[in-house]
Amino acid sequence: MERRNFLKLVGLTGISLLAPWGTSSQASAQEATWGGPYFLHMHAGGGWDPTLLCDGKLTAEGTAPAYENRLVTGVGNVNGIPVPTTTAQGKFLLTANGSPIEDPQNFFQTVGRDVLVINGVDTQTNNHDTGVQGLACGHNDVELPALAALFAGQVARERQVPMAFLASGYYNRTGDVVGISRFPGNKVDLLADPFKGGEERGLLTEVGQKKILAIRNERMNALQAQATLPREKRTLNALRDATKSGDAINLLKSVATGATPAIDTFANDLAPDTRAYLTAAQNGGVSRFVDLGRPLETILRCFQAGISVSATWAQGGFDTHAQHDVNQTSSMATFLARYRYVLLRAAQLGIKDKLFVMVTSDFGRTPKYNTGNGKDHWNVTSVLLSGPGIRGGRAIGKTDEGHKALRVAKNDVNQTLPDMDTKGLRIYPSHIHREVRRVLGVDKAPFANQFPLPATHEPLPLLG
Amino acid sequence: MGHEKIFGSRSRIRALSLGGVALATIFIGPGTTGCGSGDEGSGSACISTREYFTTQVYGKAMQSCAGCHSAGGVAEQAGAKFKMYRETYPDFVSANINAIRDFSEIQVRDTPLILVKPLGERGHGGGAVFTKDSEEYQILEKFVTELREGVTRECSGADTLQVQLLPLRDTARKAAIVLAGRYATDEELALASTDLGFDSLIVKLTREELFYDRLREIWNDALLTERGIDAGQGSVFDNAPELYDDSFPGYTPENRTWASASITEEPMRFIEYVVRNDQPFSDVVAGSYIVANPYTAKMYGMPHDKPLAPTSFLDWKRIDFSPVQNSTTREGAAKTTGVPAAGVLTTPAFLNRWETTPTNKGRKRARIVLKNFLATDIFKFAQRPVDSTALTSVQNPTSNSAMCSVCHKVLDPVAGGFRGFGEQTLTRFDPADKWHDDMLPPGFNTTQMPPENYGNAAMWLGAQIPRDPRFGVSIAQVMYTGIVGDEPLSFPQDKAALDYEDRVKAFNEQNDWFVKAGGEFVRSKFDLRKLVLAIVKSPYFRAKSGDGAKDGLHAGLGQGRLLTPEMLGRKYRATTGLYFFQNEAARKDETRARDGYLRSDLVADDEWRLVYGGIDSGDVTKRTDTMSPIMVATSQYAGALVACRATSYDFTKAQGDRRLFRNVEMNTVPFTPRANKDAPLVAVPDSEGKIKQNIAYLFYRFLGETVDPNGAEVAQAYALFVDVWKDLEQTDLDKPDGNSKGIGSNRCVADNDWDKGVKFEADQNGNQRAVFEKLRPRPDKAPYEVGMRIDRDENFTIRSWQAVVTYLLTDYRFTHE
Repeated sequence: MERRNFLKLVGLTGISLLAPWGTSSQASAQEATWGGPYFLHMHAGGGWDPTLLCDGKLTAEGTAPAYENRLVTGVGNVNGIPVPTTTAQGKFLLTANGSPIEDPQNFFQTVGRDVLVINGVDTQTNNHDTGVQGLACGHNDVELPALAALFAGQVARERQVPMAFLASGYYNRTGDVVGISRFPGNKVDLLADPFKGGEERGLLTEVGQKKILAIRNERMNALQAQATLPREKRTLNALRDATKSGDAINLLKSVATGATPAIDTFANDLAPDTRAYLTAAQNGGVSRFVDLGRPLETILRCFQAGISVSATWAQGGFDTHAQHDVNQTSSMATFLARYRYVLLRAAQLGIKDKLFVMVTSDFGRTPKYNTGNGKDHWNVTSVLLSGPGIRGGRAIGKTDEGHKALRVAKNDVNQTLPDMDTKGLRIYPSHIHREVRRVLGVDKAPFANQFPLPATHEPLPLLG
Repeated sequence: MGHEKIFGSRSRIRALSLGGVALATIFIGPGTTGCGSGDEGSGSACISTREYFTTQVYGKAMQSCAGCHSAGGVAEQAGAKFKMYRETYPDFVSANINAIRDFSEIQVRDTPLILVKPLGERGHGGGAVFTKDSEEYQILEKFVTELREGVTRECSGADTLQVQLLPLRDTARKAAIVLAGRYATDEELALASTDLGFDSLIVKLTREELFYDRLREIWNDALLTERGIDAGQGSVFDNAPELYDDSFPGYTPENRTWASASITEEPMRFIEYVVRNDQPFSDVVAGSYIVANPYTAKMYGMPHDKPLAPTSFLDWKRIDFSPVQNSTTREGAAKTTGVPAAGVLTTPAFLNRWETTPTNKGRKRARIVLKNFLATDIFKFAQRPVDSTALTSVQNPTSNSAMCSVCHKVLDPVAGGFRGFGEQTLTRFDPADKWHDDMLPPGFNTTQMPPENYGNAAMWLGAQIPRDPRFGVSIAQVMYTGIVGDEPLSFPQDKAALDYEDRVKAFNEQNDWFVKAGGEFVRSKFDLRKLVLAIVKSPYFRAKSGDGAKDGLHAGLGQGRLLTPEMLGRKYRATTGLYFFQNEAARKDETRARDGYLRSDLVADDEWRLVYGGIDSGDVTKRTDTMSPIMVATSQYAGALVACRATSYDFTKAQGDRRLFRNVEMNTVPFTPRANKDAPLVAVPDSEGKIKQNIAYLFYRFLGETVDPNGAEVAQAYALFVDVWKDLEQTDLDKPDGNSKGIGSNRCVADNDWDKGVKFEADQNGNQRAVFEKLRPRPDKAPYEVGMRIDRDENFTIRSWQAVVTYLLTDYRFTHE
């Protein structure tokens, strides 16, 4: 949202510009909102199985096959992306409780046609926490700030974006470059003007409010001047940042009170095999697809309102140590539908051309089933990327028939090489982070050098 | 001791006598590898043997050794005798020094083998790591030489930190708020100015009700068992199906709710019971008894002397029998099985929260045990890349691949301690469980569990844990994190950082402190109160200032910990007398108090708690430790609401009974109210002094700051008071018929006498509603008397004071301690 629209909104709704926030020493009040680009990190929590989405595989040859798939019987090629297409019962669809939710083939042919698939990503771990960390920050060993936090932190240096970093993912370290925000739901009215307390007369006189604001700044300056120990410095700095980010917090109202999108606006962009189920209304009268999108809707609206720069979000349910085929497809179904929602809704809100989306998971699943028909932790996974300047509709990187990572040529990432070929490199999360940092401009941030990616991983020009 | 002091002073250096040999005092300059000589007046900084080891030997010289010689490394796999401990091992400093000392006894032609091998000689598997003239080798050589000569240097106290501490009186004020959610009385603050009085106060605080709330919060932050568990999990015991199965006579949804709450709270109530009844804290893992209320007792098939009713929810008592599970055999015979009881480890809420699966095989449970009871974070134990290509060539890699076994040989035996609690129902016990043959057998450290204990493996495991010195360190770390607000420091990784050595010193100092505090805790027979006292007296709780340019050295120090929502909620009441609540001031909730309790929205309301950076133990498990914009707004709303209520209520009391306004009355006005707006304002003699005196008192009460009534801080707050007062007086003159003498918001009217307790009465719908005793009505034009309702502000002072109190309740030092 442009600044003038913000003022218009404030005027129209009668929201007072007087809010209990200090003013920034670094940014002016005219820079209270952010017009993009935006960065959304969606994480499939627990370790997904990309062979059921974008690195499709059939059971390998031999009496002791290197890879087993009891579900998929056919894999198709969609713009170079190996996508599962058929099962013994017919078309491969991602279902939950037997109901069709997503069609990966349709996804990559339509709304996801601009998505870049990176297969054969070696997470170098089969530990959840390490995988979550490595994919979110690019480093398995050092808890760097999440990429989403770095990007928000860079923007927050220049602008008083009120909730620059919306944290609802699994890994939200900030390295203190930005504060963490969570959307406060039905408390927005109260918090947009807290001294009013939701009452016409307010809890304080207006003179009292103004005077408190005035002396608060002086008080904070004095406290910061006195602070000598790290804990106090850290929490004081965070409070000051949080306070100066607050003068556009009224915009939360525009997010909280926005109308639920109509299912009709999505229906034609849903896969035909899932349309009937997803457009059906549930008990609350909202369609299944719109209901699935709810957690992302708030994030997208915050982006559109200019009050957030980046967000993390995660959905669990992928740690399918038992009954893998049923449970994994169920989680994958809702996750992919939500990714579809993000791409469609971003277009409706006019921010699709400014929205970067990074889709990750802790790691992959083992090639073979365990005794409980489950699949365990496997260090090879896939990552999806979309956003302005990212050439999608293709796949980089491959895995072999046993879902082991192959290498890509150092000078041409479109070329795949055997794993032992030293002219190539395995793709690590750090490679992807280095590239996305570059595309987002985070590598130019003043604090970037404080948070180096692993030096041992030679750069790979994955994004050209 | 009551005065402010420097924590530590100039180094006091002494030589120790080891092995009967008196040794010369030796100094080592920072960053040097050698030793010089000097005396106490030379100005050289003292560097202890431990510090020299950490910064120079471990941090520099032997970094290349650690890669192979630490657990699971190539050297260990190849059978090398020399082993190193990484920094993730508690007290790795002592362990490594001892290992080097021992190994340096082995010589080749009068030269210790440890100095020969790194040169690539005597078949060193890693080849030549150093040259003889390298800095690394010389560091190692000097260190080994000193160890062989028996030199051990200690520096007195923790002088390296160089910080100023809060005086004991201020520490006592802070401790009362953060530990027991109350404000210390004037008498207590006076007594706390001596060491004896201070210690006595802290121990007293740990016997108060709200401390037990805090204790449960601290341990739930670690164990996260309050995520919730349904009473249906009790079905594995098959003793009381009416508590969860609606097909049984006597079932009610209410009973299911109460039973679920009971089974959810059981682990934290166990911990509370142990501390409340002065049992050794080791019982938390080793106690071979259960702590049950009537609901859990019934589920376990145990008798309880209280009825199965909500009013008995808080009757948690020790029962010295194991729970009983019933089942039917294939032949149809009834079978009764005793279930092991090992403190919280065998509670259904713990077993369910940290579930086992056919492949994780209890390892998640083991990870939580190691992290919280053995100070070992297995995730950081040996971080290293995992290569699937290498792993697929190894049969059963968790046992046979060094990449995996480094952690699994620690993890798997502890996981075996949960033998019998399988994945089918998570909480059902099967003594005949065969466990997992592909894992390392159950055990602890290097001791294998005797097979005769397989039927009560958890009890065997629980008994081993407190015997390990890591237990004391671990409990100290969990309590430290809860009380101080930060995780223990990690060993610094960035060796290129300019303040790397300072950071190592800070880590060392803290690590040593944990070892010492943990050791004293063990020697006190696991007395948690003494551990709390040690934490509160430490610089990590008390440091208030230092050298602003030495963040590395001061890492982990300082005031300004962001209060958790629960702590902030209690602080409002501790300081003002009232909790923050939007609508409901009290609730009939027997999980908190038999007769209902006063309610804080920041404690009891899940949404407010999460908005303010709290946890739900499931999706959100990490507390936010710095303010976000939404949290700032929340603290401002809550602060303003509490200020508005508490200010008017405080004025209903006699001055001597007040919490806030001890120097002023409602008619203590800064100026004489004017007859018309053109008249000049005339100051009231003494008023400014009284108001400023009161403001200075509030600075201490709310913020812990001792300020001069004539100083700048008070002047600012006084200006706020005066500006609001003038505005109200002017408005009244402008609109004499307006409601300018009202109290403002209806929520600020003093109507209830909050301090006189609460009763609950059924409303027309049968719901229990809180009823407070009312203040006396104040007839029209009657002068105000103590105990009367306040709904007017004729002197404009109440709203002026509300502004001042709001200002202070929303200050950084109120929301942070």
